[in-house]
Amino acid sequence: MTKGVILFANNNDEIDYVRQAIFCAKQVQKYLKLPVSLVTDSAKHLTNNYPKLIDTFDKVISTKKIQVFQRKTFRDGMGKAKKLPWNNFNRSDAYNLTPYDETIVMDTDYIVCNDNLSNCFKLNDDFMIWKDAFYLNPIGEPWEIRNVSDVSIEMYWATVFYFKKNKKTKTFFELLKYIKDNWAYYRWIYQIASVNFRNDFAFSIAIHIMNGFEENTNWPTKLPGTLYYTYDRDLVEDFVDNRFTFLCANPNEKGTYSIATTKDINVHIMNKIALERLIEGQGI
Amino acid sequence: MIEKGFLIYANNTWKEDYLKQAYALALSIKLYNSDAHITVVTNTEPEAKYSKVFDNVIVKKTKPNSLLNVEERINAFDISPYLKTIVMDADVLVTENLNSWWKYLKNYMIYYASSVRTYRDKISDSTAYRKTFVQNELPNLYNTFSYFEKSEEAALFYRMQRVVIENWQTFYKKYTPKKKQKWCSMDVSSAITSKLLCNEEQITSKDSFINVVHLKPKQQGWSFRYQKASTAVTLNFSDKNFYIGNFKQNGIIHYVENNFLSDYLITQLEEANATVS
Repeated sequence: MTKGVILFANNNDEIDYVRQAIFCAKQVQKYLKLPVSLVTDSAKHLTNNYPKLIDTFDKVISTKKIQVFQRKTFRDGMGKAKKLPWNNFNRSDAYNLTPYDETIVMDTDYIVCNDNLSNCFKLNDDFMIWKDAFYLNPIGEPWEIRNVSDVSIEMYWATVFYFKKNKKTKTFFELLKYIKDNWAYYRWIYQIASVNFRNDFAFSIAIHIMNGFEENTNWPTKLPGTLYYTYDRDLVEDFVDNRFTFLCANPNEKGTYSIATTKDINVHIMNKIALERLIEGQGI
Repeated sequence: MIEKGFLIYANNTWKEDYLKQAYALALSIKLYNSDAHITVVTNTEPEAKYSKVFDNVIVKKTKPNSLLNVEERINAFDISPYLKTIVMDADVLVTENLNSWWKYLKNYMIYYASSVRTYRDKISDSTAYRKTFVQNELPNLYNTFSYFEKSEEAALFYRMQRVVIENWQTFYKKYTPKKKQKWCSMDVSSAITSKLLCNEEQITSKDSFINVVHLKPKQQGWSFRYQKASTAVTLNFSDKNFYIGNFKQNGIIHYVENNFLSDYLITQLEEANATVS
């Protein structure tokens, strides 16, 4: 059984997901000791800008660039937000694109700092994903997300997930693709306000359907460890000796932050602009 | 005497057609429990279509100013033609076969549901609608679903309940001084009765699988304060399953708001029943 990690990186005009993927892959190799493949519509960007770092990846799987109409708000702390194109559409192709029998898929802004996820391969489950996540902002409760909407289903985080190829997971990804292709219908049925297609929501819907429209089921199982995250309202300031320093925005007083630090903990850093700055500082 | 059956009170008012609700409930019971025997007690002569699904119709004229059926419901123990009776509110739907419920209820002479779930199948810990019970330390009983077996124990309980209801202002003043309800309710009256008889442990179990999906809005764990649950989610029936807001339901649903019970839903239940029989 082959094992590995795949990352998706589709650049837009301002966010260099490919560079994020390089940083992310280096951390994966350091702690999980797994091959990492990159799925990207920006393969040329990789060869032109990071020729010496192509070897970071086990395989580079080039996909066709598509015209993207949906735009997402990218914040950088409490500063001015930007609306940029957001191509997150090929996550549902993970089953067909992965070169591995057992795969961990992760966002490029998920930074691995320990080997917790290695345990995925020791468990006998075919699909693992987090439903509960821990927001590192000590006073950020008002921004926490638990459901895809107030009245709807619980949200699974598609930030990181593990799957083993089999009939059930194949069906799951086919369903996911169907939901993506019929997003307007499913977001209406599941009472989701956002027009944008979001993988977290599509995964949550697909899981709900696969479970016969019921919650509290035993599939999928939880990934080892805990999903820690910071929002794009928060800032990432420093990364030294596996220790992150974050400035976490105060929801009650705009422009004020409190400090949070983590050591040896994997973190999903949603402020991509701040993450870019950090990675630049790491010499990539 | 028939061994077991369902008893529903459906006394129409100028505002609510409880008989229609009872009809929908009866359809849902028969859909999953084809051998069920159902008695409806009503103040209105039911139309022919309704009579088909009820096995026994008792027409009893109510007082014109009767509130919440309470005066009638105290007769449930006496009027029931069954040895073992499940009593349900009319605004309830059954979503599954209840054989395991009957089996569980054999352990009791009287039983009341005492926990409620959200439509998302989470036990609700909201006390928004139960302040009287919490502040006065009353057993948290729901008459939405209750059960009794004809027995001395049950007879004693329901005799006492009658005394409480017939003198409700006196009893409410004494046993609910901290948050007194201004009207007579079956829930508070049953709770006071249980407190007087010190029998909470004998008539309910909080951890039991017998609980109710209760669709009052503050019970659902929503952040937004919906005034009505029916403005937030819909109740659908498809392929012999009930869904609320896309969640497949199990057990029994106390939908409370009449808006949930559409004519289309009733038609679907009628069609589903036709395929069963």
